[in-house]
Amino acid sequence: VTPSSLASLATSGVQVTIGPFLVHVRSELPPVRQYLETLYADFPVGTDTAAHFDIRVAGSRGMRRWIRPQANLIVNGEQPFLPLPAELGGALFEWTLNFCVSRDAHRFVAMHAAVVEREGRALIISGESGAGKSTLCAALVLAGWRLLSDEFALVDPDTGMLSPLPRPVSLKNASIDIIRRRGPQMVFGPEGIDIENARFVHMKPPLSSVRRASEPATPAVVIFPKWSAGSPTSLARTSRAQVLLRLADQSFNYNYLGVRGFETIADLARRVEGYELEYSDLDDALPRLAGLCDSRARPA
Amino acid sequence: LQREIDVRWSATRGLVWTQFDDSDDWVVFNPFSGDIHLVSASAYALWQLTTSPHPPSSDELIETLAAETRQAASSDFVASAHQTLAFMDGAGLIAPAA
Repeated sequence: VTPSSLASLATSGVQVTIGPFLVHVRSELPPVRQYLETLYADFPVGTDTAAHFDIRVAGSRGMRRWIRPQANLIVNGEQPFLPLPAELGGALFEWTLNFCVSRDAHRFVAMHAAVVEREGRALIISGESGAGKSTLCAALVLAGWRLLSDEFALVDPDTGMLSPLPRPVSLKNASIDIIRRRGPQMVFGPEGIDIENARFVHMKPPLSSVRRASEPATPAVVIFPKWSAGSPTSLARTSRAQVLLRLADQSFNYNYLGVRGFETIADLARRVEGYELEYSDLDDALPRLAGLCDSRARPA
Repeated sequence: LQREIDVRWSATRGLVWTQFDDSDDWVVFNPFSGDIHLVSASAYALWQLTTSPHPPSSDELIETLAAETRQAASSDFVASAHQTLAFMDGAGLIAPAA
C-alpha cells in the first residue's frame, strides 16, 4: 500500500491481500486512506475487485458531511452496523474485517485468540477481552516473535496448521502506554475512543510477519492468560479436555462446521500443551513463554 | 419421580466422543445442538449402558452401573446417578426410548 496505489480507493476501490484473504476496500474518507497508508504500508495491493470481503466505508451525505460527519459501513452489500463518527473510519475498517472473518471464514476453524510463533512453534493466546491477550501478543512481537494474528487463530481442518493473518495489533487503555514504551520504534495509528469509551490504538505489524503471511505455523502451546496486579508469574498445566472446551468456547464457527469443526479443535488439543498463565510483569512472563516453546523444540 | 422410575433410556446416535491421554474424562460433541460437554468416566460408563439394544430403565441402569463399578447402590450413589441421567437427558445425550 502506497499513496499512489490508493489512487482508486475512493472510486473503484483497491484489493488488499491480508493473509489468506483478498479484501476489496473502498472509501472516500481521509481517515481510512491515512490508516491504510500508515498501517498497511507493507501489504500487497492491487486494483482487482475480486475479493472474499468487500468493505466500503462511506461518508455521510447532506449536512452530515460537515456537521459531526459519520462513516457508514457496507459489507458485501449489507449495512450491518449503525454509522459511527468519521474519525473512527480507519479503525472501523479493522473492526469490520474482524466481523467478516468471524462470520464468513468457514474454510478455517476460527477462534478468538492471538497467535505468535518462534522457531516454527506457535503459541496460541486465548482469553476474553481484558485478559491481557493483545498486550502479551504485542510484547512478544516486540521481543522478536512472528505475529500470526492478535485476533484470530485460524486452523486449517485439512492440515491442523495455523494460518497467519498478520494485521495491525489492537491495543486498549493501559496497554497502549506499556507497548509504546517497550517499542518506541514501532508505528502506531491514530489514537481514539471507541464506542465502549475505551482508548484504543493500532500498532503496525512488523514487515517480517507480513512477508511470511503465507507460511503456516504448527500449534505447540496454548495459554489462557490472566493479568492480575502485583501477582507473581505462574504457569499451571491445563488438561487437554479443558483446552478443547475453552478453545471451542472461543470459536466463532466450530458448531457451524459440525463434526469437522469439533474434531479439528480436538486434534489441536491433542497436539498442544495448555497452561493457565497469571502474570503482572511482562519482563518476567515473556521468558517463561519463550521457555515453553523452546522446551518443545528439544528432542525427548 | 414416576417418570424416572418408568422411563427407559436410549443413547442418542451420532454423538462424537473423544478422550485424551491426561485424564479419564470424556468430551462429547452433540452435532444436533452444537454443544460440547465434559463427561466423567463414570457418566460415560452410564451412557454406554444406554446403547443396549433393549433400552434399560433408570433403575436397571443404576443397578448395572453399581455392579460393574463394584459400588454399593447407596442413596448417594443412586441420587448421583439420577442427576447424571437428568444431565444427559438435558444435554441430548440420551432420550426416553420410543
